[in-house]
Amino acid sequence: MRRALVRVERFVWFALLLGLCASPAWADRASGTTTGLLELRGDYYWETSTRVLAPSARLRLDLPDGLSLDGEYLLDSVTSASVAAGALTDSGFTERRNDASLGAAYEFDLGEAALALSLHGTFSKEPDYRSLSGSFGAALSLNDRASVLRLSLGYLHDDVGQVFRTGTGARPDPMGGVAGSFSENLEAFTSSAGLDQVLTPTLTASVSYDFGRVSGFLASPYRRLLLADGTRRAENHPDLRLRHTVSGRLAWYVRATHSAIHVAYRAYVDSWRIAAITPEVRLYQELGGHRTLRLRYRYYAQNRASFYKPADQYTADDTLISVDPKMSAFHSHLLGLKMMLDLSFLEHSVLESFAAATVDMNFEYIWNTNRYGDGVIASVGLRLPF
Amino acid sequence: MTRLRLALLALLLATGCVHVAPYEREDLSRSSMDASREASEVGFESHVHDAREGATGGHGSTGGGCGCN
Repeated sequence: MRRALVRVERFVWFALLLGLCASPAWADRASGTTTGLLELRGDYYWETSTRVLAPSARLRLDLPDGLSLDGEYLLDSVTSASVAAGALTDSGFTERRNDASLGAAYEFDLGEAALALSLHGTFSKEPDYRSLSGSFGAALSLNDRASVLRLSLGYLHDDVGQVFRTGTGARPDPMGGVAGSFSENLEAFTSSAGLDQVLTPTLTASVSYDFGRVSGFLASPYRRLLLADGTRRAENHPDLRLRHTVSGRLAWYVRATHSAIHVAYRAYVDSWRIAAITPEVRLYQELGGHRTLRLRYRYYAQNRASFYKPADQYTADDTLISVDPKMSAFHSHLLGLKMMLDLSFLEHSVLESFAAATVDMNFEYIWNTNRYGDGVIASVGLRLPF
Repeated sequence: MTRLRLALLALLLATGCVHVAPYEREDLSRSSMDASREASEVGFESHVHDAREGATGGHGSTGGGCGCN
């Protein structure tokens, strides 16, 4: 299985490089009829114990015959103090995750309707973790594209390892063994169905339902609990999780003020008895001078997993143990400010090729009541359609 | 669950009742109405939230994919 994954990994890298190299040639052959999008982003996340820097590049090509190709590369550079995440004896570290994805979509013209089929694959690798996933999607557009029915199915396979950055590499009790011998798997089947609907000339609505079946090793190989009697226990979660999510969004354009208001709501429940709600509102305000300001507020609240307890309440008789802050009851508020600037003022200048581009800068602050604490998300981005 | 099924059925039926012609959708084509323009940003933020919250979904993810669990 591992050898097969290595082969698939090589194929994904090869296909991604091929796709990126071949793109200009296809555009030339099409004599300008091929369109596309180049997107470059730099995302940053900060909290007390963790910093993430994630530059990414994405290229999409829309070929004249209806085929669309998509490739993306993302580098996750994570600096973390793992003790803060629950490990008892480990030190701060920096590690990198390489994430590459490829996708292809084709739209069939069915007269008054259109059917788009898509395939998407992602490979992610970091020192102690490897993930491979693929998905199939279908989107049926009806009523001159006023209605779009969506369906997607996906599969994910992860290999979970363990890296000890300091010390002897011996695993803590009770599992024993050495770091290099730790090998677990995680599998997920995902499905999603949704509807996008134009309701009026200024109002659209979207609803979706997601179901996921996740099985295998669902804990962290690093988080441990120190019991009152001094014994160490590794985190142990149930090996099956069924996840249900219903979400909806309304988007309304207000002509009088040149504003767009997006209101979204997500309800979630799973077989670990976690239930959560996520209401969100976004206000996009056109400011003139090619500028748009976005204000965002997101609220998140959940109850605790059925097996989660404060660390000092676990005893030697407990088989399921969690020291994962996201298994606890908590809530968070997110407030964000984003500025988007379209570069159309570059028309008729030496930089005219960037006139269709937009740049954006985003800053968000998260107030969080669990052990992770408050966080900051910041990003800059460039979108260049061609 | 019954309410949810009824709501979904009503929405599906609505697709046949509502008709907004393409030439009436000028405002809907504005960038501020197009959530898909922010897909890459949403991807990173979803990744952050998935690693920090018990819930997921609504954006095609159901967990796994990285060791940030």
